[in-house]
Amino acid sequence: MIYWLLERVLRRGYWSRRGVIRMGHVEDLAGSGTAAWFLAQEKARLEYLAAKEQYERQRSWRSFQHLMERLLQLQSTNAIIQSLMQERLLEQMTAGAAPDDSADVISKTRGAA
Amino acid sequence: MRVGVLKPDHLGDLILAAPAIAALGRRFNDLTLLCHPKNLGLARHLFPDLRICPMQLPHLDKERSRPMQAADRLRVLREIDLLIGLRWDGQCERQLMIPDIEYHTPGPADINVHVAVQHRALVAPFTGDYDILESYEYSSASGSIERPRHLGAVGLCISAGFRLNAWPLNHWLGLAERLHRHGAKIVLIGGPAECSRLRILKQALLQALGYAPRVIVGSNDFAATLEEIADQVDLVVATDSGTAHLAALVRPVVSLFGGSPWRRFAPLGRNNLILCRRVPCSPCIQFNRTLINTCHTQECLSNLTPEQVYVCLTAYLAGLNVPGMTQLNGVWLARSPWGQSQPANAA
Repeated sequence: MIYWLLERVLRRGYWSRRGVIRMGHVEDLAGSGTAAWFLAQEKARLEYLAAKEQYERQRSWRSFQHLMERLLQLQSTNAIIQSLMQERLLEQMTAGAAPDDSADVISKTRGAA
Repeated sequence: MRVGVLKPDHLGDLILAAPAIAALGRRFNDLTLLCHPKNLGLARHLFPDLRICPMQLPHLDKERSRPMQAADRLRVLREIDLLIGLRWDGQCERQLMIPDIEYHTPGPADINVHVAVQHRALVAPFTGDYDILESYEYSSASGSIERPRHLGAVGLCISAGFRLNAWPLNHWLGLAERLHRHGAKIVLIGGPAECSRLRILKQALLQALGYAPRVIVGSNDFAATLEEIADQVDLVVATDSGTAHLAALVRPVVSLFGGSPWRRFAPLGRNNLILCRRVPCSPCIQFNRTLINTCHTQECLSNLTPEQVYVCLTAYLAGLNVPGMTQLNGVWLARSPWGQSQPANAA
């Protein structure tokens, strides 16, 4: 509705700036080791804290936007590293567990089907 | 008279007490140093001529793994006529006060007075005044504490006795990259507790610099550790930790202080430098015994950037004079211990 109004008022096309926010290096994390996870997690926190301090010092719209982007990056990094840790843990649990009957259950189920 | 000097706290604290212990050693022939069992090796290394006994107090034991029985403490105390408490608080008083011993203890601690200055005020009635930086001289290694003009190799001492004092690994990495670009060789230094962090940083530096830096991990062989530091680096950049105080015996140290009271715990040395941000909440209430610290951001150190540290380091090497406190690029620089090292009558 607002875009339609702006288009009518300004008599030209208006493009929303909603779209892609860069997530930094999080896409590289899956293929890296725990040392890289540590550094990526820490980096996301540090960048957020730096943005937070910058916003507290200078309360502009621009610094607020920067703060929110860093917060989103931090949340994304948290989520990805948390997932990777769980995957690694599950993998270790699976490798460490004695052969159980789950495979049988699957095959039996398949057989039954 | 059998005299005991009490210093039962941490590794760095023992090093900061070295000038007072040395002065007492010159004054009393029969001096016994009572220190934490973990510090016995260091105490024997620093003071080979002193009698040294273990003295462990539960509230000063970070690991809480070596309980010392009250009877054992009593046995040590029975051999002393006068106890000079370089460390003294309510717990010490409760655990160590017995009849028949004369006690000489300090008043309340002031976080704006360097601990070595407070020690001197305590022992001066026995020893007379002395210059803190002259009283104890470490001579076992080939180090020099002169300010370097050029950096061949820099030691990055990442250790932190308390988590609050740690500088982020990403910042160490950023500083190492800057130093590397300007031709300095990087050496990593830490204590046994920092092995994992050292490994992470070494791995990251291998990728960033193209070589794996040498890593010096402090051990109970203090002579070897100090010899290696003196041998391998011209200057140490460090956070507040026992290892940093150790390194300050053989090399100048540029210390990064966040929440801990830098005026009180700066490493001793004529050419040492302190860098801090002086945020309004510093010193941190972690060092207050009556308040609870709920800070989880530690912006005092987190937002001290590698770029800022590098700029200060460059100015320091160029011979920047820091008479009191100087601000540079958003960071405060100070020298330790701020002109308090000389005796009051000489100042």
